Amino acid sequence: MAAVLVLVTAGILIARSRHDDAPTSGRASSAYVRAAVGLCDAQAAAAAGDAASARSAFFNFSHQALHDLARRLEDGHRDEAARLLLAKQAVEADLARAAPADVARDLGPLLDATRRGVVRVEGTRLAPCSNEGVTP
Amino acid sequence: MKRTVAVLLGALVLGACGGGGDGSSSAPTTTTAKAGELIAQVASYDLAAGRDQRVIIGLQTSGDDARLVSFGTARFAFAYLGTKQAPSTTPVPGPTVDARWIAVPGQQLPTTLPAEPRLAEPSDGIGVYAAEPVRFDRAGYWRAVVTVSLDGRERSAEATMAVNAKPVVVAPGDPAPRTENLLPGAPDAPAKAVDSRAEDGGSVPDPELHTLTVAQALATGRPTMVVISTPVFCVSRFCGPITDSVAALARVNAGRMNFVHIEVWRDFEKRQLNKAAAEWIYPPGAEDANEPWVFVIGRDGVVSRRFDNVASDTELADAVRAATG
Repeated sequence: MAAVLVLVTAGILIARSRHDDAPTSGRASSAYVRAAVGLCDAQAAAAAGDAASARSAFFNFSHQALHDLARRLEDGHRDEAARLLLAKQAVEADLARAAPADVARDLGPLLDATRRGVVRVEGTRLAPCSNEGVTP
Repeated sequence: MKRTVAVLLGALVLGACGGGGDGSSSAPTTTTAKAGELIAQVASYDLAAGRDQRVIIGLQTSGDDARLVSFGTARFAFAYLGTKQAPSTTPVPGPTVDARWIAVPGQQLPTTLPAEPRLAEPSDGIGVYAAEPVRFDRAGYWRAVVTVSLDGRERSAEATMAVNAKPVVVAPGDPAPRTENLLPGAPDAPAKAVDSRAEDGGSVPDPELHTLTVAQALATGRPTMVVISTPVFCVSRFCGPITDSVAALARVNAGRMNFVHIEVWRDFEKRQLNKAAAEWIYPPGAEDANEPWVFVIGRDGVVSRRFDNVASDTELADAVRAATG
């Protein structure tokens, strides 16, 4: 189920990225799109109380890309790297405690930090999660 | 003497640096591969010639949808490639060793793990293949050919690593630095410099790891385990909650062994390492610093064991038993 959810959300995210009216250009690297999809799916699963699916989505689609993003941010955007890693650690601690409500809550700041980070390193903007709506 | 150490931990990026191969650095390297092929990533930080040591290597497939190779065993076949100044025209065969898969701590794994290697998602199990002991007879560049059996078919990947003439970081046989690491409540110790997870003005997690300085711990005459890590700012792909693992050991071994956590960063955003961490993992002459590390110190104050990057709960527990036995 998680995989299907990821695929569906991925399509939405990529499609939105193409039409996003953001003050940036281009489309984010597929690894970061995939990472954002994973975070969105993890948040949806956690909000539904499904800690196991949240954990799978986070580690299978997002975790490594977030490490890569943090490393890229360390050169020149260290404050953003710190923000990203702090938010990531909070989510990991929630996942270790299998606390889905906390996971859902703490994924919000992590999504924000991820989006900011991708803007910094690539000049591109990730689209919102499918349940966040689109700002006109 | 106050020494402010500012260092870009770009070296935490596994495979980011090629290393000197001439004794100047042992930063690992990774070979490139076509999508879907196996990639080997050397996870060891500080390999040296002429001594028995552990070598750890991670395996995964290449591409955006990379999968890990996890579980079971692998075989490492090493060959000497020469030095930067004097490369070998043909690789000189070196040791061939068996390696077992060890899990990054903190995962929810089944009690009985698969006996054979398999392609896995990170949620199935993140880890590395570890061989020990491995002895390289000379310094320079070495190639590792890592072979696993996947679905009955042997598949291999290569990686290159630099082996120094001697260890850069504190190693078994060395006297432990009598470090005066920061403890909670010290006037010049912001909580985050004691543990990066601490909130401003808040308590420091795992208080059992912050009751003694290393110098004080060594003075007790008990064995000591020192973990040098940054729970928040770790960027190694094999990061796990190693500090939690050591804290769990501290709780069940209180009174028999000392346990000390040293946070890597004094100030992450300003790139300032804690002086105490630098004494262990960023000695004078080092090109970069890597973390996490775990060191085991005997009653005699001499380092008896060290773990770089990845240490499984089993390895750490065995180390405690060996030190306290």
